[in-house]
Amino acid sequence: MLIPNKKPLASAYTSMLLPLCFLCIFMLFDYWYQALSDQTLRFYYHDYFISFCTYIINTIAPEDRVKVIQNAIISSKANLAIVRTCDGSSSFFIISAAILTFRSTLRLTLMGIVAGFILVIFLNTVRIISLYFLMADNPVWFSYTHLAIAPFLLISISCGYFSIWAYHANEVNHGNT
Amino acid sequence: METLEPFILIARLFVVWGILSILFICYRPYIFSSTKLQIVGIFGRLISTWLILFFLCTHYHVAISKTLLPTFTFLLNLIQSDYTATLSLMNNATETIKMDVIILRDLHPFIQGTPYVQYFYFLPSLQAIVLLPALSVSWPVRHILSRVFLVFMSIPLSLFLLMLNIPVQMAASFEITFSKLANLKNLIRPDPPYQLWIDFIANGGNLVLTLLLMVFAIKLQKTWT
Repeated sequence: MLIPNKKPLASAYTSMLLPLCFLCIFMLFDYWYQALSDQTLRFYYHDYFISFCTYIINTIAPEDRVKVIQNAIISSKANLAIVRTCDGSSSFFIISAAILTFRSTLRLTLMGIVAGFILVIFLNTVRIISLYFLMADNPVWFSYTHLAIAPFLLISISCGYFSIWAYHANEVNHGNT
Repeated sequence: METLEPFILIARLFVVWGILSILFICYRPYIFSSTKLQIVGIFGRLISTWLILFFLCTHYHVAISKTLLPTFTFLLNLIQSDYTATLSLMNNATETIKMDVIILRDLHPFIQGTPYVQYFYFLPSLQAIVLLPALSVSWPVRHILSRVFLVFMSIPLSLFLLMLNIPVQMAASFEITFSKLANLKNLIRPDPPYQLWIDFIANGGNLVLTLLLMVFAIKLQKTWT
C-alpha cells in the first residue's frame, strides 16, 4: 500500500502560517508603538538619540555648532527634525517579528533581537548624520537619500541580518555547531 | 499618517500575506540550502547593484525620459478617450514631465477643444524601477550565463513595468483634477474603467508587480538553462 507523502502539504501549510505569524507580530508591535504618546517616546528614546547624533555631528564638524532644540538638530546650515517615523522603528519591528516567527532557542532569540536593536540604532545614527550633512550641502540628494536610499538600505540590511541570524539559528537547532 | 478603512486594511493584509506565502513556498528550499557566504553575496549584490543603478538612473534620467516619452504619450492616449495628450520635458525642471492635453468632450468646466496643462513628477517612478534589475543580479545562480540571462531579461521587464505604471499614474492625476472640478458643480464623475488598476498601483501594486516579474524571470531562466 502506498502511503501518501504528507510532507509537501505540511511544508506548504507552514509556509502559509509563518508569513501570517510574521505579519501579526509586526502589526502588534506597530499598534503598541502608535499607542505611545509623542511625549513618552521623546522622553524615553528620541531625546537620547537626538543628543547622541548631535554629539557625533559636533565631533565631525565642530564649526557647525549644532544644537538640539526640541526634536530638531539645528545649525546655521540645516534644520533636521526627527519625528516618530525617523527612529528606525519599522526596521526593528521587521527584524524582531521575523526572529520571533522563526522558532529557535530563547537565548538565540533574545541575542538576535538585542543585536538587531544595536544594528538598527547604528544604521539609523549613520542615516541621521548623513541626512544632516546632505541637508547642509546638497538638498537635492538629501531628498533622494531621505525618501529612497536610506529606507532601502535599512530594510535590505535588516533582511540580510535576519537571513544570517536564521542561518546560524538553523545550524544550532540541527546541532551543526 | 493616513487612516485606512478596516476593510481596505484587511484586504491589504491578505494581499501581503498571500505574496509572502507564495514567495516562501516557491523559494523556501533555496533559502534553507544557501550557505552563509551565499547569503552575504545575495545581499551584497542587491545593495551594490541597487545603489549603482539608482545613481545611473538619477544621473541619466533626462536621456531615459526623452527616449520613453513617445511610448508614454501613445499609451496615455490609448487608455482614455476624454483628451488627447502630448508629453514633453520641462526646460528647467527636467525631473518633471509636462502633459499638454486638449479636451475632446465637454468635461465641466472644460468645453470640447480646451487646452489644459498638468505636470507629472517622473523621477521617483524611474528610481523605483531599479529594484527589479537589482534583484535579478542578486539572485543566486550556478552559472554566469544564467546571471547574464537574468540581467538581460530584467531590462525589457523593467520597461514593461514602467509602461504598466506611468501612463496609468498620469491618467490618474488627470482623473483627480476632473473629479474635483466636477464635485465643485455637485456632479459626480464616474470612475474610469482603469480605476481598479490605479488603486492597485497606488496601494503597493508596483512592488507586487516587481516581485511577480522577478518570479517570471527566474522561471524563464530555469527553463532556458
